[in-house]
Amino acid sequence: MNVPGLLIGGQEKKEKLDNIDLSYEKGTKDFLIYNDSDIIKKLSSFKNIESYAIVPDVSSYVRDMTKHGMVGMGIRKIKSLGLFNLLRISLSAITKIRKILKQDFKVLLPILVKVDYLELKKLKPNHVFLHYQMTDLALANDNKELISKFLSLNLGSAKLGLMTQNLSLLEEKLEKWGLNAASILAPFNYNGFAMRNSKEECEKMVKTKNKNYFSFTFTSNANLANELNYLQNIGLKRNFILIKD
Amino acid sequence: MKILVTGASGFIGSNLVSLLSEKGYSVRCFVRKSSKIDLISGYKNVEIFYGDMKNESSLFEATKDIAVVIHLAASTSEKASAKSESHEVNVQGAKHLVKACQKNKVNRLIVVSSQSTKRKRQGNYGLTKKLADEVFKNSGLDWTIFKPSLVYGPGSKGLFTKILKLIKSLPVIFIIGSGKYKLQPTYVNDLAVALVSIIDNKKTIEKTYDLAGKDQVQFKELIKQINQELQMEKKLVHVPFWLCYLGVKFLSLLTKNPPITIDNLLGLIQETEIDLNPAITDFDYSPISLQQGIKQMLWDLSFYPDKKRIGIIGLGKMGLLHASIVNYLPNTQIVALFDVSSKVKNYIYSMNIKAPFFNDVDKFLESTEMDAVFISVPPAFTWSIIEKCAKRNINFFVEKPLASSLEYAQKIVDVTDEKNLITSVGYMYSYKEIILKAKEIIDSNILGKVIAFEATAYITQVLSPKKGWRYQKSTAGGGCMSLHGTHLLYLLYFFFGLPNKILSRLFYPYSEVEDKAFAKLLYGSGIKGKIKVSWSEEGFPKLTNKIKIIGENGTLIINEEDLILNIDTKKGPYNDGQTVIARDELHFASFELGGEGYFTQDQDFIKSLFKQNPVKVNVEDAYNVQKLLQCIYDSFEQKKEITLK
Repeated sequence: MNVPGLLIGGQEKKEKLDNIDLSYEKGTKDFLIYNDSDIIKKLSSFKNIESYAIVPDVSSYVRDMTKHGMVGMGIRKIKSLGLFNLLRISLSAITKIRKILKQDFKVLLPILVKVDYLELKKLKPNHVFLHYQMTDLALANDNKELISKFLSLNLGSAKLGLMTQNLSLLEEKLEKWGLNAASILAPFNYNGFAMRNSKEECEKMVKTKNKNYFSFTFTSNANLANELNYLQNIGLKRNFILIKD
Repeated sequence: MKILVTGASGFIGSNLVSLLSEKGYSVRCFVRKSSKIDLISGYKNVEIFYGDMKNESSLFEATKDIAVVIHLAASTSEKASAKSESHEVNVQGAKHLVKACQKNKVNRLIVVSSQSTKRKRQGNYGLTKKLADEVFKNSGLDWTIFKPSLVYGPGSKGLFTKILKLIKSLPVIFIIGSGKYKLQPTYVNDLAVALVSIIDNKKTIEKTYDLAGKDQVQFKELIKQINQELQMEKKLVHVPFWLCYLGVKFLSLLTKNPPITIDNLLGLIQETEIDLNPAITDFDYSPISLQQGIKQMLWDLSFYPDKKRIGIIGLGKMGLLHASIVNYLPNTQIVALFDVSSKVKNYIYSMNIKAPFFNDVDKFLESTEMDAVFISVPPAFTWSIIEKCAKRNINFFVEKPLASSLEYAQKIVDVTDEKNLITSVGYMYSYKEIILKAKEIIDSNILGKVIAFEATAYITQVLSPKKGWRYQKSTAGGGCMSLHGTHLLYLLYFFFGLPNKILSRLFYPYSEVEDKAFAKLLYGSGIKGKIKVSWSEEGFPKLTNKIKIIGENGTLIINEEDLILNIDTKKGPYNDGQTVIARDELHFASFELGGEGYFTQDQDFIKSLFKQNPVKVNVEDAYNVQKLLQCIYDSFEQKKEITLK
């Protein structure tokens, strides 16, 4: 069965690439990806597709993540870039070198995102979402500045959005902080799993708030029809699905 | 088996629907169009049916294909003008329901009535519920009636919550009359568990049961207990009963939903004889204590005045995660941060985690008073830190494994016992819903007698020689088995307890600690188990645990995302053949950070500091896991099977 949008992640590289081919052949036009040069190369060869991205990339740095955590991994990654690459990202990064070395994550995050965008911009993604591990960490710590820094980035034509596992809390905080995200990527599914605070509340937001809501859904082939039927009826902008089996 | 729950969206109903769904039943929720359904939607196998107790045909439609009806719906209004409404919903509704059950051949009917039906002086509610009880008793159906006392619990909008809110907000506490009348309130989850437990229980047919809490307490004493729990010293002011009666009567004329009703008032002063023995005998009714229930309520209402003062020791990946969760929880405050490296201070501050930072653990502990610390440091350092915390009577959460050796783990257990500290250890799998479901299946004998298991834990982490504390025996205590295998060892301990004998083989291709480990386990009950753990396995970007349990009635495969149950004979709610229980069909926490289980685990520890509940995994459990780990290392070193003492 065809999926409207494909979430690419969680599998081994070959499996991911095969899955992309198969989905494209079946008619999938929307792809949600992390920064992965092989996947970007593969998608660049397709016509009439739309791409969406999640940053910073987590999956390809999983070993560093295991050892250092997301923040630790980011710091290591930026430190490993060197002056030339920092210059490629932006001249302003150089002026912030002191803060980078002092490990101010509010300064590190935009650079980390721009590092990923160096590759991703080949696909001209429509929307770039901040990874939920970052968004939710900011929500837990009431860290307006971190979210604000991300949302004020300039990534060409890409609109900036937030990915979260805590949708109601995100909306509550955005309102409190006076911030506006162009798009929000959150779990939506037939069983209401991880739709916080509740399935009804999340569905109501889609109906009443004038925003672009995107879904990410993990499902099995057996439940795909059920999920598609549900997702197509609640008014989401795009639906991205990762089939687990 | 499909169950119809009337009044499903209410306080008792929403708790019941959640439990029924969790137990694998299909549920049809009978609710009015105007009902809020957010608390009952989103559960597996739960459908919403809009109807009205006053509408006979809607009940007829709702009872089609139903095996059991649990009847909760009632009108509780005490306004004089609502008398006819109460009669129509409670009495006529009962008649409609009985007719519908008879027409659709639904024999089993479980009714939640009320203690107020036993009182001499009754309001609308008590009177009409009493009449309804007679309708059910004469129905010819397999009825059971529960008469619970005042029901309370988290999420309640009832009298108990209103009393708590009044106590919190008013400068003095008003006591109605002498306050010597006794209460024995029922905790909502106890009622839900009782309802589910009698669905198939034939002993309970055509019987009426009293249900109440474990403890009986004078109203005045209850107020004092709450006052004490909230650390308030508010004065008690007695108000004559007649004055209260007039006041409540006046309020009921003014507002549709007064904070206290005439029935509440009559209920308070008229004690009823409650006999829990039949419920205990027929369906093992075992309610929680009132103190425990009150603590749950106060937590739910965020009423605790003091915030627990928390210190964070170790600010690496796990330290940041715990600090962020503590920062998010409403009843906690981070008061100090410690890490050996001062470099992390800036990035922790830039994450908006603000508290004085120390790189000297003694100065950290001396800096301020702390109720508890979260310790996320290499296992080689846990004992020395815990020893210092124990000297200052500081409770602690410590990341797993407990220590770098069994000797240090023993010291931690001893000092914790001696100081009577509240402890928790980071075996967060015990907070994953899929694991709790697996445990329920094993314990409820769905698989029959367990014969064997095969367990694996794989991750792609070490494919070449590595440097760092994690890969040194002196700091990490061990390799893949210690870091990742301990989660698996904990799960096996959680499911089956400790084995009698262990035989192991370890492999060291890249590090001075083991990269791969194999072990065979033999249990006193005869269970034989095999474990394989590796951090050098390609194709596993994240830690992947898998356990296959073989029983006399079939197998259960426990994955990270689902359970696959294959049984020969139908047992409980599970049919013979294959049943897949997906993670996304189960309950999920109200907040998530860092993956499933972490938030619930930390919240559980904080709750235990408020003495609300014991933690799921304490240092003794972690010591047993350490014992298992040590035997695996000993068996390999001694090249023989080790018997656990």
